[in-house]
Amino acid sequence: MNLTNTQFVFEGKTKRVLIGGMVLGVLCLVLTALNDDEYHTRFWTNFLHNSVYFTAIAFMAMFFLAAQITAFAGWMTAIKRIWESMGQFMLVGLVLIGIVAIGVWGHLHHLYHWNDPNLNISDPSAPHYDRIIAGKSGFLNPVFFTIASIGFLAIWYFWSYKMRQTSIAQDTMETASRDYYKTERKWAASFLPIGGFLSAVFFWQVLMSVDPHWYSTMFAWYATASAWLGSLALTVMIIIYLKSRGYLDFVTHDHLHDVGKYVFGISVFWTYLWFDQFMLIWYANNGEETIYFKERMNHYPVLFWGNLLMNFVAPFLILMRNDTKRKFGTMFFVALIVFFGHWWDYFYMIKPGARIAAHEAKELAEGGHHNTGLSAPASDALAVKTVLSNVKGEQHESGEQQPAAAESHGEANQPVPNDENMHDAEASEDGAHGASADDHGAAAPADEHGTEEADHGGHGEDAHGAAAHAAEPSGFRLGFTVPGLEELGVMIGFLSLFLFFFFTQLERASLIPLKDPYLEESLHHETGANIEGEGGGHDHH
Amino acid sequence: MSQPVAPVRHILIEGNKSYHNITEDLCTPTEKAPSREWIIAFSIASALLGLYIFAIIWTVWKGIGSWNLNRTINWGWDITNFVWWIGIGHAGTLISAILLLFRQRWRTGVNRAAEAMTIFAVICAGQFPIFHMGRVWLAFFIFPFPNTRGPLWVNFNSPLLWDVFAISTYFSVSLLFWYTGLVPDLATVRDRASGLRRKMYEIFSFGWTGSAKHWQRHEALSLVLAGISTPLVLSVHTIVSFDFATSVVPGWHTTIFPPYFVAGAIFSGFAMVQTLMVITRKVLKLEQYITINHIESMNKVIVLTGTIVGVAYLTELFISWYSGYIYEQFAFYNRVFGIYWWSYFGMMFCNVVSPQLFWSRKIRRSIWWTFFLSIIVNIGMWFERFVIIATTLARDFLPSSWSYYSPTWVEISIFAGTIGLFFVLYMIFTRVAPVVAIAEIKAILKVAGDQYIGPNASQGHAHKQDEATKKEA
Repeated sequence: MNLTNTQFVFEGKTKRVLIGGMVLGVLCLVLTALNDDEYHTRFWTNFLHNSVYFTAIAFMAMFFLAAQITAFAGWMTAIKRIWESMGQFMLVGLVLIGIVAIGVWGHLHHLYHWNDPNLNISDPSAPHYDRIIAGKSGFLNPVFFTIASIGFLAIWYFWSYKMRQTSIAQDTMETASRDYYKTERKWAASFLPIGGFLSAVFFWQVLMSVDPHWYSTMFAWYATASAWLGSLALTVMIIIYLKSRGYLDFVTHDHLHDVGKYVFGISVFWTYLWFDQFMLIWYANNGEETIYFKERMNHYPVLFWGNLLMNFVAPFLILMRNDTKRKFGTMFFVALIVFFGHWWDYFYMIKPGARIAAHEAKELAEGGHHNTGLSAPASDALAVKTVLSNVKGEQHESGEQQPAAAESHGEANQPVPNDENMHDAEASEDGAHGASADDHGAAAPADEHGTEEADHGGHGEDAHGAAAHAAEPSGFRLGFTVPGLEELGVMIGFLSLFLFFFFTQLERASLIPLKDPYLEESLHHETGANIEGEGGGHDHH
Repeated sequence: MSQPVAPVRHILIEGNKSYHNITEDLCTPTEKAPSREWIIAFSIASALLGLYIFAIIWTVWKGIGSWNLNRTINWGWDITNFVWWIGIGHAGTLISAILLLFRQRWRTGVNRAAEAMTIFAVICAGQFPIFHMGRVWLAFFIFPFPNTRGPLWVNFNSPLLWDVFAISTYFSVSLLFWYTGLVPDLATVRDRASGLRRKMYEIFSFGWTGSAKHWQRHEALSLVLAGISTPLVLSVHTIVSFDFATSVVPGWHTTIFPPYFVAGAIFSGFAMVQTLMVITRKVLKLEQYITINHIESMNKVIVLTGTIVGVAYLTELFISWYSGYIYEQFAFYNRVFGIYWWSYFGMMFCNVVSPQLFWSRKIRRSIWWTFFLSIIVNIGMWFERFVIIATTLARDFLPSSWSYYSPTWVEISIFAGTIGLFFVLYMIFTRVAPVVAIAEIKAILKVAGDQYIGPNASQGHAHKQDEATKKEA
């Protein structure tokens, strides 16, 4: 067992490459900002997307490490320093999310519709009063945003800093003592409830409120699981990279195998959460909930299906076998897919909603929803919206809106719908496709949505949302419908930033905690898998 | 065996046992005449079982009208108890499958009893939907098979039918898994027995000889069953949660239900394991196999899952307000401040607040606290299901239908009776089979026992520290 090469050196060449990556990221951000709509939606969504994704990766690295420490896990001692260093990125995340928070205060962006200065949430008698957002304004406001984003991040960072300091201090202790071990356990165990409770609020505030009318109790856990996989996949890639540079001789196939099991297991868990959230919403067919998936399935099919393909099908099929989890090449490949896949998942959570928010911002700025040039049915749909948002959650006579529906359906060459949701859903889908295809019909999808909500006897907010994002936010647009080259560049930039910070942290201490009580266990870790042609399953040098 | 074990690990087998001691200690309870405590406890459980049989006959004879369900509250104690028992079963599967994957060695002390508990709990759970059908002689209608009943056919879109499949699969796999583990131990009992008893154990141990081939097949089978059990831990309670969450009933239709039900199930399951183990280890004198360290580990699982459930409760509560949907808001307002407010507070206190006491090492390692809190959690998890079911139904969409529900003596008797059924089965089990898995305990003796022989064994540190704490306790 080679425990000599335990000091990582962050070489100049690596630094230059990573700085190059960051420059590319900045360039791409500037490029998107220059080529953007008036609210710089593409720029800001890219910024938010990557800031949240990489910060959440750092958080989950720390959270997972805390869970492992609390559970007396010994196997992971050899890779503990990697997670500790990843967790420190929350400090940078604090700055990044802080910029988003400044944007909220200064109205620099329209990522969050609830923060739109033109939004009417105070005067119920005015025509465009948004009852739903008004009801949420106790939570969706700049003060709470600041607390739940940078406030919570600061708390998490403090814990992660303390855990790291304790762990490093252990290396230098002279007499064998369990003091540091015990202290670290205390920090780790107390981080679990703190991280567990606060992360839910963090994700509601930072991600879910991008679609301010929509809600799902599962959302926070879903976003957490997604970040967890991003974190695990990045861990795999970092381990393999460091090994290729001659470090981490003590990390064997068996360690990689166990991280691989986590990637496999948590991928299935993520899919489980995905399925529960989707299936329950689909089954109940409640307008204000289905709109989230309807929007994504109809207008963002590549995002929707790509998400499942990369985050479920690929890791599930590839990692099912024992031997694939022990091969560096295969594991790197899967980790790359999963890492990108969950970046994609965050893209999918943010972009469609933010795009609608920007569109709504424009409409509000132009004096409400009375856009000129829309056909009559469209304004009918808007009337529906107004009626709906003024009547609090009561059952509607959907019949009175039927003529509007009929007209618009006629326009889209669809049969007149009846009260069955199924029909409406189909009609609406076709209508939307028609609109994006011949690029004329702002009205058609608007009506479809509007009447559909009326059929549901729903509660206005979706009708509002649907009517508002009728025209523009449904068509193909690079950087929203699918990630464009700039998005990839921005991701590389943020990844470089992450790695740069990570390597500076990694350099500050030994790559392995030499005085850790579990050290021997980890160095002799065996999964028990007997794979032929692997030289006994160990990577001894 | 050559792998080192960290000196900070807890010792899992105490008392300087030899392999022979282990066989003696674990087989003896099946060979001796029952103790007085056992007879008294068994009599009480049998009396409750008698009450159960009486109440069931009453229900079948008189009809479901003898329960206090009405058109508004059409699910009451029956489904509450069903979900409660199903949840309790989860600890066994978690211990035998998930903790196996996580290489938790302490599972060997409790897995046998927990798996037995799973099976008995599922048996108890199954009673409720079966007898809620009313005409129980038509219960086979729930199975989709070609028949001459014309249009009467199961509804594959219904989560209630998914339950039929989920629970019967769960029961079969759990039973197989448990029995597979039992075979070598039954053979050990057989080898010590004589006469008719020997013949019986010979049949039940399937002629096990302990040959290398037998062990090889045994291990292959165990691995396959563990693989099948792992998704079952999630799937069963997920589908039970679908019974509620697929509906459009405010308070039921919430996407967090599946994982939160699973966490709650593990929570209640571990509480029941604690209740049983604290008694069993005392009565059968197994303190050296089910040590205070086992109890502490299980208490940690309880505080973890209790807190996860707490996150879910608060998430639901928050999102109901956040949704801006008045029916959802009302459903939760009604839960907290409505006519059944006491059950909501009981649930919150028992499930979220009380387990937090386990943050204290002293309380975690106290037998009395553990027993007391495990009962509290059992009660709390019953409240949870009652809150979800009765509270929600009592205030439905139509105020003119609003109603209040309290059980009749028949419903109470059936519930108390299933507890009798459960304990009768469990106590018979402790008489006929080793409560702790002999073969598995022997496998970890030199790794996690007080006779650890791996590298650094001379340091022996953990164990000294533990001895000290044990004396304290």
